[in-house]
Amino acid sequence: MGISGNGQRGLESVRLRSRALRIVAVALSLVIVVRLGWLQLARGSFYEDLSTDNYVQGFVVRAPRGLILDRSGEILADSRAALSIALNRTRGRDDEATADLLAELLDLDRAYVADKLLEARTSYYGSIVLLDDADFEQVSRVEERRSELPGVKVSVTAVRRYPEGVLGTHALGYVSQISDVELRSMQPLGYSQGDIVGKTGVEKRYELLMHGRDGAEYWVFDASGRELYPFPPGPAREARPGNNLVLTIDAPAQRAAEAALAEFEAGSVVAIEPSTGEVLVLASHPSPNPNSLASGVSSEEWSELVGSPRHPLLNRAIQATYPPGSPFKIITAAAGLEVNEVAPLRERVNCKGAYKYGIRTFRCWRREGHGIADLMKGIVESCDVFFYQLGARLGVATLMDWTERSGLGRETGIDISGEVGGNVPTPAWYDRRYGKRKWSKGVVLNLAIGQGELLVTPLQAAYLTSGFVSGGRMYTPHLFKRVETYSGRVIGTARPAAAQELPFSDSTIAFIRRAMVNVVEAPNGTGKQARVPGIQVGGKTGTAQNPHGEDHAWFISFAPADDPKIALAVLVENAGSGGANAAPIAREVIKAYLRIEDPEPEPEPEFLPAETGEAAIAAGGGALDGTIGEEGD
Amino acid sequence: MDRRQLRDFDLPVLVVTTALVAIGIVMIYSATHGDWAGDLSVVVRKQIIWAALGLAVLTAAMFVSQDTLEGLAPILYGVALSLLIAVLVIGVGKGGERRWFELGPLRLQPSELAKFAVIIVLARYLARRKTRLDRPVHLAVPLLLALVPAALVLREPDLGTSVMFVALLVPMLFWGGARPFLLMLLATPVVSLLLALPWTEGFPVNWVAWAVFMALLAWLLYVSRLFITDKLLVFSTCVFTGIMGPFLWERLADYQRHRILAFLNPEKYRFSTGYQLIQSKIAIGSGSVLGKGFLRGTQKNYAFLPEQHTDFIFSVVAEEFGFVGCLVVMGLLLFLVLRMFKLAGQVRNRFAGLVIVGIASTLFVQSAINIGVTLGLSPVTGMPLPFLSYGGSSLLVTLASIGIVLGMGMRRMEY
Repeated sequence: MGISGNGQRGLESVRLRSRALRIVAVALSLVIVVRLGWLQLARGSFYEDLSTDNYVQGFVVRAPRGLILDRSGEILADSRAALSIALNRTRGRDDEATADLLAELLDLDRAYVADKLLEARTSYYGSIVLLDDADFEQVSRVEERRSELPGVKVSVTAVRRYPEGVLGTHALGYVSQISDVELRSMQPLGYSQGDIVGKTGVEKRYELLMHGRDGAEYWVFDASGRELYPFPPGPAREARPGNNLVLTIDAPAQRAAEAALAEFEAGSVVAIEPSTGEVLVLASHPSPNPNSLASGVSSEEWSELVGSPRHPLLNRAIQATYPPGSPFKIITAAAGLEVNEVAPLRERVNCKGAYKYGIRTFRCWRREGHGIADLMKGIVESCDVFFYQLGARLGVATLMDWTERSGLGRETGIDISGEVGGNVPTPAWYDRRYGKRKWSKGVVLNLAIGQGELLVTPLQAAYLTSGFVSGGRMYTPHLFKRVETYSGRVIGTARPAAAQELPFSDSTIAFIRRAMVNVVEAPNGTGKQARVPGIQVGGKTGTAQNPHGEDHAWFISFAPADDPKIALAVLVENAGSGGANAAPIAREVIKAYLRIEDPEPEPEPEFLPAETGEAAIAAGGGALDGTIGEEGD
Repeated sequence: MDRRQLRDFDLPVLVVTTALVAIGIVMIYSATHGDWAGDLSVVVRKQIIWAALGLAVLTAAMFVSQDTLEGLAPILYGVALSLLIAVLVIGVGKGGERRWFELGPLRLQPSELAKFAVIIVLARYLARRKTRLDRPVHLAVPLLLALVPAALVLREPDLGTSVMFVALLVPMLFWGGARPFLLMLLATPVVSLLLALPWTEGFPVNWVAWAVFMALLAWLLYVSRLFITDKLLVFSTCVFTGIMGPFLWERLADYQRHRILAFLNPEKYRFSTGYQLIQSKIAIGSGSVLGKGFLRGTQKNYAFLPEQHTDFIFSVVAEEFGFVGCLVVMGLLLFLVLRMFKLAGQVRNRFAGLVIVGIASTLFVQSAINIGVTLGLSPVTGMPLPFLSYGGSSLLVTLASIGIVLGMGMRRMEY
């Protein structure tokens, strides 16, 4: 080969060096090929998912929520179209600048916007709702600055609407965005962030029926968050509207009840169809506006609602308990009849306005007394002295036993949540509360006229009334009547479920019913204000002692007397006399439900109702709730 | 041109070169036709013009004799250094960088020319050396020749390109006869510097690693047959660079530190510098075996992929043509490099052999680093992929070098 000028050790060395360089180049290339193979072959599908995830985003298409209708088809809740502003997952977005701009344009708290932007950045699915029900002004301001707001999406959505505002709000409940806690339990059912769900009432109870199935659509986005076009063209999954819910509520009667309650600070009306347990009216006053709750309230508005002294969020019909007052006398009377302590037509008591028990004197609400009174007169004129002596003869154990067997002291089982059971103070209860024998048997005198530690909800009062007018059979109260698909096909109907029988004989029940008719229809009855032209009405007035202020007015009622279609209870807080203030409300509700028109302006009442301060006043004075026992045997 | 020269003309190199340029134009077309870009066809048209110009320069370069080139080397080197200084004064670039001269619609990047100049001048120096490269001090002149332009480019700042000057030095010294042991010693100050950098802030593991390395080096020097002065020189240089490491780190621009940290931990820098790396890996990985198809790359179309038509053009190839497409491009590039290394062993002229090795090494290292960046194997350096990336200066210089190599191949029998 000879000497070459290339390389000092000759050609052989040059060839070796050339080979060495080539080996190094090939070896390094192999490293790259291995890495390439790892990314493209081994991890190819993983990166394919990531790349799809990059430019395609899924959105929930919210299913229109089912309607809520009253028993005759009147709409109580529907949906309206609204504009919502949502934030998408966008990597290229400057969150600080976007938060500033959005907070300014939408007049929102900047920290809230920044929070939502962060949520959107880290959320894996869909978009984060920033504003559920934006007004037109807000939307147009955002649209004007669209180019500066990548990944901010305005879309049409459905917002729950209660056409009449406050009507049956405490029965219907309200809807709002799903909370994190709810999401955790509801995610398996297909719920996702930003979903609107029922929070109380039937909206909550029948959430799954009404929600419908959300659809999904997919959009192509570029790196700067611009929405380009649907992927693949068209919606990927149609949203299926929720089912319509028909309630047992009668809108005219409900309206009448709420209009009448509106005259007072607070109160409640519950009406039940005795033969089925269908709840015709469930009113609690005052009430929040469900429309503003549905479109979202600020935290200040919310704490104002929660902190209001009138407790608008409290569903008084099922969550507030009161002493039943004189309406409870029907239980005392029925118990007396059953144990033969009173022979209705022979037993007479001379009421001189007070009753002596041991060293204490218990007063009748009518200071001058009722004179000679039998059981009928005792109920009709609500004579306390008659029931003091009857209660004393029955004793606490017996009276409370009959009370419990009549269904009081426990929840009725109505199909909305939050119901409380009230309280039936049995001897065992007193033992627990005050210690064995640390309480006076004299408590029975107060219990006999429905005062003291005995507590019922307005719903329980109506429920008990329904039992006395349906042959002793009580049906579980319910708001659900039937459910239909959005196209109107019935897919489920409620059947009346007999919950229990009153423990009284037919003759006892018939006597009580007659007495209740007399309360309204007899000239000397305390419930004359409930009279309705053309039909006979039954009822019982009452006043519940309230240690915190003015007494509460009670009235339980049913109509028509011969074939009762409605049984109801009215409670008006701090309104004093039941005959004067609660009975007229019952009259309005009955008229509205039975569709009875006023023939002419109502005649002036012949005389003012006499019933005032019907409650027994413990002669010893002092606090009335729970202190009686301390006076000893 | 005599018959032998015509016989020695390497047609496959020309064909592969042309093919790579064509693939580059097609990929730039794809990269500039995403939904996001609007009309960027002007970029494609420019690249076509540059390619045409480049092929003309390639042809012309074939006729430059190696003697002429060798004679021109000092002048070319001087011009390149002057331009590198000038660009620091009147150059422009993205966000405070000074990398290009702007001449109307043209952007000229003097560092591309400088790379070529360094190859020529190194080749001339090494070819004319009469003694062997045995001692570390023998490397002083070549090191200086490479490090001066490297330092100037680092000032632009352009870390990636300045690394290239050192990278091409090693194979050329190897070719020039330096013993591999000496080259290894050449690398030790760099290793010392890298180990001393505060990769993980606040944790002394680097100093432990550095101390271990220095101990190994001391042992290695002790058993070697170098002069004692050389041993001391190497060791003290390593101590010096190791101490300087953290200071240099502080001197780096923020974005440069970021790029390096993001390379080491892309997830942590997911929304800033690491974003590019992650998006590039997604583009490449999602290409899978056969790719998403021409113009169908979603990472590219919807602008998730950064610098699509320049530094990340390989990611576009990978996304749209998959593993197979990547193998084709890499195969063509490797073919050129291997062919040139082989040719270097065949030419009789020592200067020509060194030039070919320098050009081939540059081509290889630059391709490897660019592809390595897109794969997350190397920090983001902002280095173009030869032939494929959009950029006039790079394409022109690359094609000119290929022309030089082709010419040297034709004259391979001349001394």
